[in-house]
Amino acid sequence: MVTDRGQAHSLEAITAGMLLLASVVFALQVTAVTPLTGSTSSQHIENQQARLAEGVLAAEAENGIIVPTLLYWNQSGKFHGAADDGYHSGGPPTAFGNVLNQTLRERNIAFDVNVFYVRTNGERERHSMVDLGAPSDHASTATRSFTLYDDDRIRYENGTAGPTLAEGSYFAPDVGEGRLYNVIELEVVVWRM
Amino acid sequence: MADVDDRGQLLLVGALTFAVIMVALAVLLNAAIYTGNVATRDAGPGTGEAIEYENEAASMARSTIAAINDRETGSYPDRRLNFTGTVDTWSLNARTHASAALADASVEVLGDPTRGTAIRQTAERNMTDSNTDPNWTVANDTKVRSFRLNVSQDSLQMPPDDENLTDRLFGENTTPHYYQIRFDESDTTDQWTVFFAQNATDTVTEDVTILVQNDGTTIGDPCAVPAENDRVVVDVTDTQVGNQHCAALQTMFGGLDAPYTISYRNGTNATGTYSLVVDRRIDRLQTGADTTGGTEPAATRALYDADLRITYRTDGVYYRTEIRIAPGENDD
Repeated sequence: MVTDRGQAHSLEAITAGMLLLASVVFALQVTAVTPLTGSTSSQHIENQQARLAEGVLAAEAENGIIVPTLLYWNQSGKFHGAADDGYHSGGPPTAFGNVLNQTLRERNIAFDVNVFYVRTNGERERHSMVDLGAPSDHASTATRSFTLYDDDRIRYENGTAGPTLAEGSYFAPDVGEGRLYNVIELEVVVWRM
Repeated sequence: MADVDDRGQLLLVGALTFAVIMVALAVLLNAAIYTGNVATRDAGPGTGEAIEYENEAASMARSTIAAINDRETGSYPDRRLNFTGTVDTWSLNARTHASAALADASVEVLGDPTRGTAIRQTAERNMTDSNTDPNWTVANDTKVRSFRLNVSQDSLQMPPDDENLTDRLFGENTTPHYYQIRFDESDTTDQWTVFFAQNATDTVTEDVTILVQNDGTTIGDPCAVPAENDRVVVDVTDTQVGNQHCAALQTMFGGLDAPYTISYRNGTNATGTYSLVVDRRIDRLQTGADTTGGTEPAATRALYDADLRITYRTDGVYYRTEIRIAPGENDD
């Protein structure tokens, strides 16, 4: 009789202990990562970075410094001072690149800049202007369109105007009849380093 | 023995209650997480892209009209075809990019662009007509846009000394025949005159002074800007004198009702270059400029304005607008 009850008590105690432990584990699991928890995957930060990139593009498009950067093209097949797939250490050495470095890279935000253009057969093609690595899963993007004209001038390395797009060689082809050269979409991809 | 059975039941009920509380807690916390997640998702439906598309289309159209007017020498239908062709190609290419963002975007030209005339003097010359008549009609019964002059400060008339400001410009002494641009409203007798003088204020020297009068009454203050290498650019329709805003010109365009006739007076008392575009086709225009384009000032065919319809559609936004493009018009 006495031994029976002792066994039951210890079983009870073990069950209670397991229950307690399970509830602690459960409680820990329940308070998972919320949107407000600081981490690189925070939705808040993604939104903020997307707005930041949009803001940079909108402001600098208004200032008119993006198109000169698009035209900062060494006619041998890359941007001045860049590798074949763009700049690897930061923005291009132009006014727009300077803004990218100061607003993004100095705040520990990595960025890629892609240039999309249209081929004569209507295909959309990508050319990389800045490549700071593969974006993380939580990257945000901002895009903006620019129009290039036949008489826009390709820039020399010192920033002065060189030959026109119609005369020089450029990565995007002339798709337009008349003065239109190509429609470019600039994409800025940002993510936390 | 009976005691043990009772306690087992209690334990079971207690555990069940505890489990229910835990599940309720989990549901509650999950709801909080979900709310937070939804709240930080993209707040807007992304109308920014539509506005941006419209802006880019409008700036493309403006630039195209200006380029066609500057370079083309063809007939009005040629110009129209050139313009609509460029807009259509742009629309097609921009749509390729828009499709990548799951949007359908297009821009089309509505109707015919307004046929107008560009009048230009590109080489340094005085402001007389092609027969060197100093008083002449530039364009009759029309509306003007992109009216820009680049005048030589030295060539303008200076007021006689020892007179005060108003006298300096329009005193009893009518000896200085200031170069003037006159706007005569076609439907009323209202007349607006823009006078050009040099060194006509006490405060600024080596300047070009602009004074606006309406039926002989001076409007606002004269606008005086010092010349740079003897030159000052006066953008009449943009109300700028040497890159400074001129309130009197703004007032004039506020009161001036189209159509009006534009004429120059005392054209011998100023030299420089200018260009303007009016909304009257060249074969119906009275002008002292050379309509054959042989001598300066020359009148050539030009597009005055155009209407565009812009459509931008995504799953959340349907945006459609019609805009008018008239680059350099005063209220554009």
